Amino acid sequence: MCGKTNLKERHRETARLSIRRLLAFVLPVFLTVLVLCAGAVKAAPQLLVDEADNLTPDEEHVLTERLSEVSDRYDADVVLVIIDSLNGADAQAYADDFYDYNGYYENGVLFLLSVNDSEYAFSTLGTVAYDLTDAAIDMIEEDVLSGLRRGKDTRDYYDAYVAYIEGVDKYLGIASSGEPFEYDTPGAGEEEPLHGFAAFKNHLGGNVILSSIAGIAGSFAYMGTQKRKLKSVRRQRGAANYVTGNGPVLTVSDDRFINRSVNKTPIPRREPSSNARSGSGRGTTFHTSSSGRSHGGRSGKF
Amino acid sequence: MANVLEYECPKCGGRLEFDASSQQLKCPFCDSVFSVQEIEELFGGALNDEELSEETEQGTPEIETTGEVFGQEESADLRVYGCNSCGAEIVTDATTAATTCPYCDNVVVMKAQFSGVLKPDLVIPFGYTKQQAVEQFKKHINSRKYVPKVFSANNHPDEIKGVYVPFWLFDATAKADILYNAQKTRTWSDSRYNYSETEYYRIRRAGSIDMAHVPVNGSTKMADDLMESIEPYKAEAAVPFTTAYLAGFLADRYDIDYDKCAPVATDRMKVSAEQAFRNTVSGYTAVTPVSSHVSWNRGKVHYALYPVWLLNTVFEGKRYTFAMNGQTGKFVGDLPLDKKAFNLARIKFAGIFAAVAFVMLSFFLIV
Repeated sequence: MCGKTNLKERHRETARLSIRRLLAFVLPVFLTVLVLCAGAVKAAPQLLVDEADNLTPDEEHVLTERLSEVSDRYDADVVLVIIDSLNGADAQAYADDFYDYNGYYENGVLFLLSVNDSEYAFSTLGTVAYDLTDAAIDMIEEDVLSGLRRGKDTRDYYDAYVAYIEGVDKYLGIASSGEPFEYDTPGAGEEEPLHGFAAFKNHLGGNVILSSIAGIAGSFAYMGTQKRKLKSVRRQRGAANYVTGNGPVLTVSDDRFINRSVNKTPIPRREPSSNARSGSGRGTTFHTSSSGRSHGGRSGKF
Repeated sequence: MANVLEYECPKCGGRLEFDASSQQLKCPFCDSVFSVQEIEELFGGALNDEELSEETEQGTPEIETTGEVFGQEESADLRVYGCNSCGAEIVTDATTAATTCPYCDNVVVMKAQFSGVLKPDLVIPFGYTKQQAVEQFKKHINSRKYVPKVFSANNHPDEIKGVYVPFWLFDATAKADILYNAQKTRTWSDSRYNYSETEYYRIRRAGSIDMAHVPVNGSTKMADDLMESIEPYKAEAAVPFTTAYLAGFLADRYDIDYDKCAPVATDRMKVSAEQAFRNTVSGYTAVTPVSSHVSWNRGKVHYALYPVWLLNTVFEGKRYTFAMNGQTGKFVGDLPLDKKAFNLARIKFAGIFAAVAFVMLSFFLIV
């Protein structure tokens, strides 16, 4: 009886020792991998941030995949952020700051939606800011807005989010295969006839008149300098040639700060209406965020 | 009592000013106000004592001069000629014969000898010969366009004369105390607003700046603007006067007293002093002087003869005078305009510029 028990016990001993050895080896490795994974996860910020819990898990999954896909395709960060409330903050500033301070890539675009405020904002940075011109953002904003309006009652904005991602994909695609989108890009709309000064200039008569004026003005200016050269006698106002030493010797030098005043003037807002397309606005309008970086984009309410 | 006295504000050290309407002393820098008694107590003694210090009323330096006069023996070497036409008095040495007046080209007559006349302290000798002066004159005329050809042909450059012009040279130390208002502006924007921030500063600069040998023409016969145009003269090259320098040249005598000339000098020195102080203020978007006090110290005046080559011409009823700085060679003189040639050239260039503009507008859309 003793011998048998001993054997069993010894088996159990051995088994316990093996498990311990296994754990002793595996556990640190496993923990390291876990930490590394966590670190890796921290290093890459989320492309989809849903703080308002506006999306179902399935919707989140689909959108995250699309965001990653588009981000990889254009080597940028395409980000979607949904929050409950701005808490009084300016939507554009919030979107700019969210992008700047959460470690996103130097080229990218972010769409922010505040569910309770019914406010949104686009923020672009780097090459994406140049590729997604004001005109391109206009077009994306239109589609997104219709989705936002349709879903306002039920707070179901899924269509708007899809419109955002698809719009970014489309217009970054246009930019990468030629020129960034503008209204006069062929196929975008009919060309506007020239009017105003441009039209006058192109007309032949206008050209003649303009160049005559330029000719007379130029001649007067040039001949004027020749005439002035004839006169060399004039009074001296100062005595700078007679200052001795190294200039003034200061006994008092005091710069005293008095006060500071800040003036702010509102920037005229551009309405994203579909009929107000003019051929004059091109490129991207930039503004400076609190981090000092130049962002494109705009914000609005619905 | 409009004088500016040297009293420092007890609060900030700024220069106090007497305000006639309130009969009190105000500091323009920190806006403090003090009664006359307060300041008297602080500085001890009646205010009037300070008036007798080195500094006098703003704008007039105390001037000392050397003021030697010609003695008997010296004046034996000198001759004075008078021009009956314009009244000029020309001085030269005994070996030189002056025949025509350098100012109006009329004949001059020798006058009785003189002594007891103020002797120049300094003279800058001629550094350019008559030949060189004539060359400079020709260069001056030929370097400009649209001068009537008749004018260029009918000059008599050989008649150019070397004249010593009398100058009063002023030395002074300008003491300045200047207040400025300054601003720094910066702008930024966010999505809704454009921001513009302005910081306001009060700036004070006080100190002194030395100037020496500021020349003022002492002869009514020489035009001030002509003499100022050939500046600067390098007074470091001036030497003590002896009659020997006059040989071959004519000298004019001063006929304006130095105290009448002093304001011209102090005006110019004030401008330079203010400019020099203004240049010590930097780093602002905008700077405006608010008040400026300039007073004078250690004023001194010298009587000097400076060399000038002079030529007069009359053309179409107008007199043209040319002058060359006998020390540096700088040549000045207004030239007449050939109106016909000038207007023709105007039309020609109008056509050329118009053609160029037309081509540019047609082919390169400048929008």
